[in-house]
Amino acid sequence: MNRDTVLRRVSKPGRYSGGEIGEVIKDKNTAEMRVAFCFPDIYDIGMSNLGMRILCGVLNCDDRIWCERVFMPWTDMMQEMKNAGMLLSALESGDPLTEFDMVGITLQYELCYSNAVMMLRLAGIPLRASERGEEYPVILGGGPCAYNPEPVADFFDIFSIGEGEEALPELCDLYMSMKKDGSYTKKAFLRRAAKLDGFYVPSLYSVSYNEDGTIASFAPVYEDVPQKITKRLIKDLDKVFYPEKPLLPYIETVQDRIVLETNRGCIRGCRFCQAGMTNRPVREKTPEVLDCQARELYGNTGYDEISMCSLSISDYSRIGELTDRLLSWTDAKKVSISLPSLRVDSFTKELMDKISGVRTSGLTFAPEAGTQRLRDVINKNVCEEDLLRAVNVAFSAGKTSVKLYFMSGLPTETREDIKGISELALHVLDTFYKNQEKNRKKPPLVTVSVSCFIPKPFTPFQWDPQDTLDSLREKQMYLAENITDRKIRYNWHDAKVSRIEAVFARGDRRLSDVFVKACDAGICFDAWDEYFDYERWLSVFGECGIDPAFYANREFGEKEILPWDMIDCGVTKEFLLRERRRSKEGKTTPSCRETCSGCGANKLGGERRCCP
Amino acid sequence: MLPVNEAVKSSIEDRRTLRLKFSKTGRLIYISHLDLARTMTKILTRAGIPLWYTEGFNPRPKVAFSTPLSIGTASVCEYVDIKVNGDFTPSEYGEAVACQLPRDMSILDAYIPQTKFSEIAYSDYEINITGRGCTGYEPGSAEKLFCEPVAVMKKSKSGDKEINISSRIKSLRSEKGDNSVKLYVRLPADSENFINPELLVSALQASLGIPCADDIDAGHTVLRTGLFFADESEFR
Repeated sequence: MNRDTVLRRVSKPGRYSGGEIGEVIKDKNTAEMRVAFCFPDIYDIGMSNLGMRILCGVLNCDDRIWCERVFMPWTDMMQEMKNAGMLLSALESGDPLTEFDMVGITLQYELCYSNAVMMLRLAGIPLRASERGEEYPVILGGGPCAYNPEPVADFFDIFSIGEGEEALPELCDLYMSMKKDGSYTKKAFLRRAAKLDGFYVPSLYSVSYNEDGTIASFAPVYEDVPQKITKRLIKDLDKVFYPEKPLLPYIETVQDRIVLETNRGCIRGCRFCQAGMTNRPVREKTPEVLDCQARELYGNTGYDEISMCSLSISDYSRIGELTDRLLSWTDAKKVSISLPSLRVDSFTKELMDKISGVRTSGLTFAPEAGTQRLRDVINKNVCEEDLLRAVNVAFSAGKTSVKLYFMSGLPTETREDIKGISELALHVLDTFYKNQEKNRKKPPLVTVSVSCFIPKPFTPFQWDPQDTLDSLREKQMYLAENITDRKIRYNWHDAKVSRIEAVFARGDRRLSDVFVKACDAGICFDAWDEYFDYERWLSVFGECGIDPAFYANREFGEKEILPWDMIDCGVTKEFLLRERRRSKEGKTTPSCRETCSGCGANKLGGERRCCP
Repeated sequence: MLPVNEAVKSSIEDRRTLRLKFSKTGRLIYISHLDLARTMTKILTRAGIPLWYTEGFNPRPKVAFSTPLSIGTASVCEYVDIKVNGDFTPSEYGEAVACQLPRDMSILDAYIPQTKFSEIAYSDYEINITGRGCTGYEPGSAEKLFCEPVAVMKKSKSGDKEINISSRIKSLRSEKGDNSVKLYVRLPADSENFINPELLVSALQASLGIPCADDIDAGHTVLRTGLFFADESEFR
């Protein structure tokens, strides 16, 4: 069965055919180095990933390197590939991954680990790094989950920690120079790569465990291998590469629009949030550069929507100026501006007016907890007054629906706090009814979306246990009973999915057996409802002698060696412990813009940051 | 001779629509009609075509395609009507769009239309079937096969229906090649009687005994080569 026949049998063959506008085609015979960048989910999801676009773009700027894309095939294609004996290959050239020098896999969320491992299997590459000889490509990992790479450490030769725009070209330079001067062997390459800033080579470290299962020691095998790996950071976001000639997918992808990255890091320090901590220090791009990039992107794409990518867009210090600059040309071109989830205390009428222009998207706010007490514990420094004022701004502008994000299972949570969620939603509805300028043509809709708390590395809550399954489900039902108004829609996330995520988030190297067994059993697409199978994971854990509760539901000791301790993401453990103590006392910590709380990220430097 | 005011009105109307004839081949055959339609608006924006937008809260451009193309079918006769602001020279706009196209798409013509897509009655297809089973093909067997009723289940959103594809074939001619069989067919293009040329392919493959499981050369291609009015003259 040839490729064309296979493509005619699967749904959305456009996922596998390539040929998009903006595709980078180079001559594989003259390229000094070939890199395959893998995204462990389907094309429709992966094509909107900004990180992938940035890194593929950066590598392709170098004439010596050809970087191609690989996405996880959907289940129907996986079956066809198996039947036809087809190996996983890159989109641009159609060549199998085994023909590449380096295969990079971005780890975006814990539930994609099974897909990442499956991609190696589909490519015909032995899963464990220790089983791979010189004939196989170097397997590189990166992305947000690389801050705790241990659960999948055995499958990768090397990890890039932090921001990759400068790190990846450095790594490729080393590879090419060693190949040129004949000194290259995989081992020699990895030894030297470990000395580059921001790279973690798992095989150069050894771990041992105590009787009780906690880590006894974690240390480099050789003296010249660093004890700690400090993440890479881009100092000046204005000057760094940004893809202005993006690849345009034909297939409808999840975020098919212009994306502007306004800043990295977050000033708020919410205690459950990993991204806010690991991306510190906060660094901003200037509105001048952003507007330039927006215009370039518009001219090169023809999209009719611009979206800002930021952990907290309303905290971008020059948001007014940025929106003004954009609006000077976007209205006339019928391009709308959309903002991601907004902070209630910095959401103003001015901001609302600007995005009300052409086409408006829904408004989302994230109070996260139902009572002030719990909001203080998690350091989400917003009060009910702020939320009601913010929704009022939205209602006065004609909006009738609002989405509210919450979490359940947070540390110190009680039933009172859960009840608080329904009360808050009712107060929002009340605010709608009391608003004199509201849109009277449509009924209001308040959507309450509740996910489950997952303790994540590099947060003050990293030692805290996740609530048990029973407790999470009980709370979900309790909230359902308390929401009786039909104008409030209640969504909740499957607690079983969150539990598996928690196991992987705080996991260590012993989980590698689990991923091999899971791959053998065909487990993949865990982030997809129709494929996630909790019972199968439990049985795989059982077969490997792993107790999921050890990782998910155990309170880690503050003096324990954590699997991710060898990584320095900027924020110090002392700071995290301080914050944990403050959370137990119900004390809040102000934002970086109000006072510096000495998180430690400041030492990494960076332009246009609000650190002193 | 039209009354004066009607002539003026129709010329104002006509001046505002640009019709492009384009081809869609190569890797683009795997892109669905809907996906292509979505891409077209961006292509037009990049080309700097001053699109006319609908009034109201959610302004949308008016871009309409001729008969939809199924996934897997290539074409050298696709049309799109675009509502444009102001005066223009069709060839100028056609060239501007051509610069923004992917490799597997080309602009074949650009003009102001005098006809409507609803007038399209037939489409011609060139089908090429390859595989070991083709070597034993008896010239004329396809013609014979489709002389009799051939029943096929037509899938639709309202439920599956059994239809006789032979009754809908306007004309058919087959040609034998080395390891291939070529079909030249004319099928109805209106939504009532439309049938996917793939249905003819499956029926013929079944009777020829292709593809065999281990024949990697077995396959087929479908190319739409022309569109016609009810009187079978060429559509423009």
